[in-house]
Amino acid sequence: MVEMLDVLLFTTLRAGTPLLLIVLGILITERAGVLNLGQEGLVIMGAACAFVATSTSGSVWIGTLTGVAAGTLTALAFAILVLALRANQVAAGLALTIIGTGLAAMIGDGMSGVSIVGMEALPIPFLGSLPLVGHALFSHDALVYVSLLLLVVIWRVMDHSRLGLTLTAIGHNPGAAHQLGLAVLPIRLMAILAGGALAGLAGAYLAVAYTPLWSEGISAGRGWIALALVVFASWRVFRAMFGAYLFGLMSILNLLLQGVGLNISPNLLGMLPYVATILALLLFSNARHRNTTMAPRALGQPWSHGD
Amino acid sequence: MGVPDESPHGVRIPRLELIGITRRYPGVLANDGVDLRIAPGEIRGLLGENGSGKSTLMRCIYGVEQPDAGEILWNGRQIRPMSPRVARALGMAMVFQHFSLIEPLSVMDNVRLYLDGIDGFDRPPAVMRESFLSLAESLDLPVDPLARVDDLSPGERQRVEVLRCLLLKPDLLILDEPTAALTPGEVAQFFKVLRTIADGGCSILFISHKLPEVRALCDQVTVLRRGKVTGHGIASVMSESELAVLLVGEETPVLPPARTPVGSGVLLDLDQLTGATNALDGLQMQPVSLQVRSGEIVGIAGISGNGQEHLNNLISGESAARTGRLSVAGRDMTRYGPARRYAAGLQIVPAERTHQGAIPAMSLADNLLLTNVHRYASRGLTLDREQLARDVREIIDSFDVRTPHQHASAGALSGGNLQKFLLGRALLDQPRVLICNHPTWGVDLRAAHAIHRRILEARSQGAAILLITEDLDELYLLADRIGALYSGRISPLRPTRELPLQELGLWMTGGGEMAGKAVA
Amino acid sequence: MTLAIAAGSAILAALDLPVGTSLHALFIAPVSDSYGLSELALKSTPLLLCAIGLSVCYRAGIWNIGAEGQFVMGALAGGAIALVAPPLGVMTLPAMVTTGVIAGMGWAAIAAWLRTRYGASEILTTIMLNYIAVSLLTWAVHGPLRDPGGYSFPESALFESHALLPALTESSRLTVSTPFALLAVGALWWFLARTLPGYQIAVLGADSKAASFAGFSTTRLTWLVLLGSGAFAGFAGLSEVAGPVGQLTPHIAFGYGYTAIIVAFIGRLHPLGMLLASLLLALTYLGGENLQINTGISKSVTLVFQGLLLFFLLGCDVLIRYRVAGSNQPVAA
Repeated sequence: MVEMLDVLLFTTLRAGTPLLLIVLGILITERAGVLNLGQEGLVIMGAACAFVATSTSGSVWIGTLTGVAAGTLTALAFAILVLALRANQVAAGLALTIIGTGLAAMIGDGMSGVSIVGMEALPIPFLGSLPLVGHALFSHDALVYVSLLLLVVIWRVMDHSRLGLTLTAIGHNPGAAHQLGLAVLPIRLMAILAGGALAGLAGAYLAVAYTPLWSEGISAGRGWIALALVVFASWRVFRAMFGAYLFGLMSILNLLLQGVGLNISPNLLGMLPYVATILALLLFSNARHRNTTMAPRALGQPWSHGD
Repeated sequence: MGVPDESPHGVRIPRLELIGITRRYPGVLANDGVDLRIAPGEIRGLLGENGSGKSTLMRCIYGVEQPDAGEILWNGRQIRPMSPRVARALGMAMVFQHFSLIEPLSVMDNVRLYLDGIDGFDRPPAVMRESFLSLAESLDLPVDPLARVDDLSPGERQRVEVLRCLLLKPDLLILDEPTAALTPGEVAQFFKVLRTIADGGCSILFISHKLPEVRALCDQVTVLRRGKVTGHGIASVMSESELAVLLVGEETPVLPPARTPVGSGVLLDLDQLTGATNALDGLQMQPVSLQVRSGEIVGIAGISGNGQEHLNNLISGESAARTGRLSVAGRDMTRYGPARRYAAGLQIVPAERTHQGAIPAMSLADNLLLTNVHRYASRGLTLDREQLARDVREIIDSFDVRTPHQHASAGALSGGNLQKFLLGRALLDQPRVLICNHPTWGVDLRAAHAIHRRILEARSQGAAILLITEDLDELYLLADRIGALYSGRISPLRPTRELPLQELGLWMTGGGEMAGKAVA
Repeated sequence: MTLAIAAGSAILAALDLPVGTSLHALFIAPVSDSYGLSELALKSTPLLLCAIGLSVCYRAGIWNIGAEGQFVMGALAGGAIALVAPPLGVMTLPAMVTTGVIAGMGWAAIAAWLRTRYGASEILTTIMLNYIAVSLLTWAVHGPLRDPGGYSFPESALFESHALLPALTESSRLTVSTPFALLAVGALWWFLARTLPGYQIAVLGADSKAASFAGFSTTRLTWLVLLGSGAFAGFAGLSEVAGPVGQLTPHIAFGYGYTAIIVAFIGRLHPLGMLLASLLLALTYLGGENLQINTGISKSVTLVFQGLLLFFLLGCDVLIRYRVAGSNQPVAA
């Protein structure tokens, strides 16, 4: 029983980590009022570049940094479209997803079957040998710890700093923020790039740590699920973390159920995260919740100096 | 802020001096060589109609926009505010016409955003709240610092705007149409506060289009018309008619004499009507009872935000009714939505021209269709586009709508011409009931005059007209009976001749008969 | 278009491919004979059908991304009739078409219900429904609908001939769905320009406040556009499996539902524009396959080109709009 819980907790943390990273990136972007639906494209670009860089350099760290850079650069293209050219954010996000998926497939072409040495676990001395939870919580690879560190940093910045307040103001009412002298477009640019970097990091995690193998479907809709999670979390950092791990659990549930001997087709069990996402949207989209959430009022609306 | 008010020779250096400020937009010269000097501690009125370039000028001073030409001298030194932050650091503060508060955030968060990056204001929240509260108390402007701006009334929001400006102890306070959202009582108190501030040495630039307010408050007044300074003088010495001529550049045209009401049947009947969503923007709407007869104009006065939108939506059917009854031309329409009510002979000229009443990106024909679906799609499926085109031509001709061509989009029309088109749309089918919301807001005088004439004509033809407006001149000019909306409650209606302006003013602020039982 | 080709060429060059030959293989070779042209029409048919439905949603401001799922459900449900229903004789095909259309509508109806009843973002629900539909299809061809005599490949049996749409000519693989799509283009034009619901959809998309002022029901229109879109995508799916494919396989959709989004945008949501755009995007499919055969490069180059097209369209679109807006927009001072 204890062993089972240990496995459950351990794998949930691992499976939730990419979602957590994407969700944090979306939070930053959307708090600034920008809707980037291209998450799936950012993640898969990060994954493909990280995998190829790892396999050529032999270093997971070079791979990870390459993934982050790829996510950031891809997000920059999106930023140019929606900030400088004021393109429709929904359409630009879709374009980003399509380009990202295509480019990633081209970059990863010929990488199927190539194996790399994935990121090693890094048990934390002393904590890692705690009874019961020691292994489950403190013997992960470095990126899991990094994601938790980022969670705390982003929470501090978003909810308890001037920068966070500025970001929120711009997301609610860019016109008023501009009148106050806040730099709307530069801050939105930074938010989009930060979101891209985090999505790229999530992709890198998938490709070099979670499943160190390349496949074109490696992101498996996580970008989209994360977008729904932000709604589910009402744009709050810790609720987003909770959602990420909950959905991490959901995605490993099929392994678990097979483990206990339930014989359901893996194809059907694979639907679980997607069905759960719809349920989450159903429960938390209700207009009644709108007023109490942090939902940015100007989400998705273009703005420029002329407005 | 430590800058000497006087030069070594004893000549007072103006706090602010503008020389030849020019600002162009595509197709419009918003400011055309504007000169202005304001002394320390002076309250200066800047008078101008909508579109005269006042707001643009202020935005240039405050660094929201940059002028294309001209100089700005601040305490004698040339400056070029590139952003409001720079302007604030220099000692300027500005309250915008449309407040620059972030509604979902708390009052204190908005104060922090405002003071962000200014030396000496990087204080812990508790300290900042303390200084905010003590300032509020000293000026007798109470506000809850922890409230969300969403939950504040327009008057309270303005207090927040003003208070956070004053925390900076500015040398110049710019106020853009600050009384638009205030009741007369609030205005009086606000002016007292402004005089206190000016006595402390702060110059005030007070932008308005209301003559009496400028005369009551300001030392000197500058008049702006079509981007140019057209006059300047001592406010208390100049007469209102003198100012009015400077303001509009021509004598106010005379309207045809009002005719007595012709019909007698009640065409619009609201009986104890309440909406499904009664609380709106922190306003509790009371049940509405109101009758408008054929050939009659009923005017509803009131400061915006006291329930006008709610009243309009109840009548149009955009807000579903919960209790009570509404009938149009004798037919019960309580349970029907807008489209059915339009078909029954109701027409509306809405308050928001381009974000409700018309769709700027669509053609005039498509905009005509908006409230006339019953006329062109009688079988419910296909549209009679030929008839539509004919009717658009007719409205353009008979209402003198200036448009590039017949197929132009609504967005290509100026405000006045679009408003004429919308009135033409409403009057096309000889409506039984016409609701006009602020029909001449932001419209030039000539168009306003044409609109007034058309409304009176519609009355002569037997329409029942409800006129909802903030413009009291318009109200007294057109209405046969007048009432007021205050805080979600409608006053009794009184024939125009029997209602002195003072009493109406009282109603608009919740005094007089408003204090007693609602609704005759 | 030019920009997209330029950027695409740069990418090809970066991958050490001969740019000229590759572009020729991508855009010219596939349509240099009559068979190629008929293949182009074949590929563009499902794209056009899906795009017609999507464009109406987008005009109403409803971001339906779910054509892929609706397509798959149409194919799956219609195909299931061919495979497992009791023999219906000549009624087989009508039953398949009806089932396919209803399945597409039903799948879209879930999103419509979640949107109108709970305010759930249709973008996210339709995406999730896409993943679920593909999972269902995969499950079906691995399990209940797998061809018992098919050496355990995850594929259904081939449909009987009476369960296939009639071919147009002997030499091509075109079926009646292609002329139907052309007919739908005309019908769409009429619907948008001449009917009340078409007008109401445009108003809703332009300004929801104006729509409410006019008394148009957002709920009703949302249902209308989503059901219509589902019907077209469902029919497109059915006509693929009952046409050129002839059986159920895990990959019947080829991303048509996503590509149709690009078709709708590049065609500016205009019926004729989408007809041309569907041909252009069909070309990228054929070209991608051709390039793969000739050079061995992954056919995902198709996706890159499609994405670039959309990307540059969005950018250019804005530049054009700016110029127009700058010239005749009245500016309030």
